[in-house]
Amino acid sequence: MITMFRVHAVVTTIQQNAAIRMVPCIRIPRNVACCHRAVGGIRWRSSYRLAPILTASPVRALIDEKISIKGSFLPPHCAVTLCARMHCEDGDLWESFAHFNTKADGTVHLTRDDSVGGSYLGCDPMGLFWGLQPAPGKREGLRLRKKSVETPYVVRMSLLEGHVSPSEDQSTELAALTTERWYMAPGVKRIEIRQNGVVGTLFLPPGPGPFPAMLDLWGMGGGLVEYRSALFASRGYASLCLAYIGHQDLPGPQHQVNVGDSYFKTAFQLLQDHHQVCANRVGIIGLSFGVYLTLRLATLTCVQPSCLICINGPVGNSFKLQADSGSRIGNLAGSQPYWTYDDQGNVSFKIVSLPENMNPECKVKVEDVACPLMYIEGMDDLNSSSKENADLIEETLNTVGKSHLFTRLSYPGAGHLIEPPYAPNARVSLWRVKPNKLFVQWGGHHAPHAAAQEDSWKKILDFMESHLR
Amino acid sequence: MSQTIPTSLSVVPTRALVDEAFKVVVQNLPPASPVTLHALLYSEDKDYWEAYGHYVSDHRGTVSVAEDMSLGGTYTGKEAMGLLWSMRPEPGSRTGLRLRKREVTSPMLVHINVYSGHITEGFRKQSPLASVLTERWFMAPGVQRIEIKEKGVRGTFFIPPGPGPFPGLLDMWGGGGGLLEYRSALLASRGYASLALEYFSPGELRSEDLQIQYFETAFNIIKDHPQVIPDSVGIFGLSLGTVLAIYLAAVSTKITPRCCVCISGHHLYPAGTALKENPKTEKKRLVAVRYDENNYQISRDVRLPIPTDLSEKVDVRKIKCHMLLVNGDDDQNVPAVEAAEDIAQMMRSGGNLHLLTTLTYPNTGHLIEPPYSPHFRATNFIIPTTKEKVINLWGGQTKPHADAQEDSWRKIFAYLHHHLYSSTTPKAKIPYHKANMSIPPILSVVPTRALVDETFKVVVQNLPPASPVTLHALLYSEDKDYWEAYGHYVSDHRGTVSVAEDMSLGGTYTGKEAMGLLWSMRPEPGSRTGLRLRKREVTSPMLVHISVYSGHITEGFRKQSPLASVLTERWYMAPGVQRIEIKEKGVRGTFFIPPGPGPFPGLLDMWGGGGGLLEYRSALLASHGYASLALEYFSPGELESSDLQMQYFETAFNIIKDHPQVIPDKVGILGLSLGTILAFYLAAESTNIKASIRYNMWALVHLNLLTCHR
Repeated sequence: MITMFRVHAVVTTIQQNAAIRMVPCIRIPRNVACCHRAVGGIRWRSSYRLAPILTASPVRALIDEKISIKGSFLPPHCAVTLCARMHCEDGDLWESFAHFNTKADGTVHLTRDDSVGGSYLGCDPMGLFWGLQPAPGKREGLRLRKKSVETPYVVRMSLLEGHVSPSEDQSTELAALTTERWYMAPGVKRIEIRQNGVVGTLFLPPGPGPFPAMLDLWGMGGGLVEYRSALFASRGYASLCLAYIGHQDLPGPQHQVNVGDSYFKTAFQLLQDHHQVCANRVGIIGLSFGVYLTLRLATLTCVQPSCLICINGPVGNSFKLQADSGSRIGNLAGSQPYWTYDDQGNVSFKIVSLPENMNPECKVKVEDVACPLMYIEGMDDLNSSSKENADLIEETLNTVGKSHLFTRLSYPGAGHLIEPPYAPNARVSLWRVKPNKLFVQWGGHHAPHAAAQEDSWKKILDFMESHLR
Repeated sequence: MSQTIPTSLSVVPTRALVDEAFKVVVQNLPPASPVTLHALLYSEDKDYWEAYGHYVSDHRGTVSVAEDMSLGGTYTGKEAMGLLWSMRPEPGSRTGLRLRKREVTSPMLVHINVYSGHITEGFRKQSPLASVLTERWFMAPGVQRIEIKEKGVRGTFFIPPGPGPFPGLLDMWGGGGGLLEYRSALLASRGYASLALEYFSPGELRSEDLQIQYFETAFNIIKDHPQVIPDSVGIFGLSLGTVLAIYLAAVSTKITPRCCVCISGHHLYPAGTALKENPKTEKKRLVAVRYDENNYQISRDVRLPIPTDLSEKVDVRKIKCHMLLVNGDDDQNVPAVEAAEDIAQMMRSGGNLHLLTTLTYPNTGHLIEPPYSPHFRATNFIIPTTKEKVINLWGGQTKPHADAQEDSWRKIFAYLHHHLYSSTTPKAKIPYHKANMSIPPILSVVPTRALVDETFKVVVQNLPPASPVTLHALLYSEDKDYWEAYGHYVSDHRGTVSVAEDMSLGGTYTGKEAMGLLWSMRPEPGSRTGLRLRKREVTSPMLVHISVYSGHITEGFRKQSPLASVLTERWYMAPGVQRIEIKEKGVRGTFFIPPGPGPFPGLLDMWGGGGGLLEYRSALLASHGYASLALEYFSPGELESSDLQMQYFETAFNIIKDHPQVIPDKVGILGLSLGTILAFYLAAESTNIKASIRYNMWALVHLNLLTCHR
């Protein structure tokens, strides 16, 4: 294991100002914007006009695949808006748009041309996907997450005349197309696991296997979040996403963690013992509180993962896991003294996870980590003290001579919720409604956050490729 | 618990339209291990269809279907999509099957599997190393499917996503009858509002079915649809559908199609208000239908010879819209190629020939379907007029037929784009082969200076769209003979021809052949006979003129002036290679040493019984890093047994071995023909040489034994 690499990558991304959602400030009157056309005698509304067409390739894609969108047969040097609209499973409308000027040959290529206004600026083929935001006037604090991974996101792309904002104007639609974005590839098997107390969903790639595998842990938001595991299976890894809080099939009250080390260990072994899994090629991925669980599980005896991926989470905790201590409440309430609020009253848990604020008994012995570990840090994380925790892991591993196991990726402008690529970022979202409505800050600016998601996903797959295959 | 690294199989994209290619890659195999890639599909008719190819993994344990050769199976060679187009029913299935998707709102599900070893049967009983499921769709998301039962017209209308208006197409299949939606669904996925028309129930054709009003009504339903551009509606036909397209274009006064795409059809029906079979043809059917050795029905002769009497043909001279004829020259069902020639002749006399474009594909049959569809050489068929059940021979050879399906589909779209998506500005009304001629075509050959074993890319740009051109290669040999090769191409909608990506439709080579302009070279007609092209002067390149000519021409190239021309140099000797003439210890030869300090592996290079000194192979070997001695061991035509003394070869071998830039224990022998016999003899008999030849060099010797036996 001499050749193990150590990276401290700082990803330079698009300027911060590109991250702020652009609202179109220039409204060119239609007759001026279209003056170029008069010469060629080409008019929009004529039976002899060109028929504009919008094409995409591929139209059905996995969520992490780029698609190439082109508009053709448009008048040259003309202002157009490309607008993406999608209804999420809760029925809310999400939309994004970008302003373009057609080239001399009457085309717009999203892989080639700059957006000059709208949800993103510059050339970014996937800007309309990560730029999706709840339509103005809709519910506040939404976060886009796929619940049923067996259906795709259906995004309708619409090409509009002029530089317009889709919500404000009734603009002429020139062309449209529909794209499907899937987390789950054909042939991936989705298996609900309710076995030995374990509550989770196992995704298996098509084919006989055995496959390398991942145990997939999300944060204290709770429930059973399947989409990342479905995507891992689409990329050839068996993946078990595990519920540990906020699920009706778990024991005890749903608002607290009622399971302990033995639960996670059982889940890990269940995955390892599956006949289609390579027992010696199982990794763990965690985000937020899932990082703590990942590190904790990796340092238990009898659990020997092949690699760990930690995204924006702590090495310790302010409370003991209920099932093992039986004493304190296994939820965030105990950390309330460390909660902070911004001007709008949105809560941040960043201070909670500072290493000095953790219960010393609940800190993972990072020095016991025995496999490669990749830590992904959003430098604008407003939800956890990712930098301080990453520093702590790095120092600890250096001290015990295990620096070769550590890889660190730091992304400027990226927030807490670093997800698979092209998912829109929620800087703030609704956290709870009882006893009072509370919104939580996640941080992250749109464009650099999107760049971080795209880059980190590639590096996650490469890391898994090196250590699990 | 498994300790082995699992094999991984990836197919990208896993969800695709049927005309999109996929990439299949297998990783984590042991190096150099034999595997079989297998595609399996369970059809709506409940039959298993399969295709497979035999591969050997490379040193990294990888197989890439797009880059590696299939060594056996339902297809061979480097075929990215062979796993689809070479599909056929699993052995033991019912006979005469044809694969057609009826339910277009769901995809075809194709299982791609990789198996250990080179296997040929019983796939479903064995466990694969890895497998992936792929979806192949005819219908893109957002396409609307509307069942039409309006004004007596039966069909299904597919409309692309978006507000439109779109160009429209009337889509008609052939004499099998019924309603087939898949091509229209695919056309709508590509931006055309397309009506799949049923014009008679399967196997129940009555002559009153083919009333012109029915088709005119269907055409007008498309034209009048609010999402269709009324003056941009074309007709798309295959077989009897093509007959109807030609008939409507020539006869109807009520509709004006903008263009017609006519696959595998003809014009051999007398004109009238309904398409009625000529009584003569009916009689002739009884005598002219043939059966092949498998008892498959061949009906092309029913309509041959092409009648000269105009009353027996649709008068194509009246056609006023652009026509694209797409035919296979092995069509056993109708005489499509002969009919196309007659159509061209009639249109020439009618002065409307400029409206005609013809694509004729070699070794291609009747059923030219969308790309990657399996090839059906013969399938069950019910003769619509007699309800007789037969197996119809359609013709075509699988590989060229598949190539034709892929190439024609792209050309058809280029054509439809040009005619249905373009504006009707006055300029566009000029026949397009005359338009744009002011912009000179650009011919590019990259690289222009290359070693002879390197490939080049030949691309022609700025041609008029859909125009026929001939690419021609000419070389003047050291023996003062002209050598040439040429291929016939048709430019796409951008006016581009790419030799590596487009099909040659005729010439000294056919099909998609990037290097056909070199390997198909032969002496110009009228040259001396029995010539062989060999380079003697290796310090200069072979000069090959690549030219592009207008039209499909076959001779007299040097007398015509090309549209554009590029000179390319083909070298045996890389820059920096040293050429040393050897006259040492009685040995005659030329020693080529790669550039750089070395030391290099050495080779003794011997040609066959022609004799003399041939340097080019050694020059090329030195260009690739081998110090190579081209050995002359007898003068041309003067072989005496005294020439073949073992000592002579040993001395030559030692000259190489003892050269300061050669690795002494890495010297091999390369022979062809008599040279191979000598190589074996020396390797076996000479104690001096035997000790020096490394085991792995045997491979080279052996390889050339095969060459000599070929």
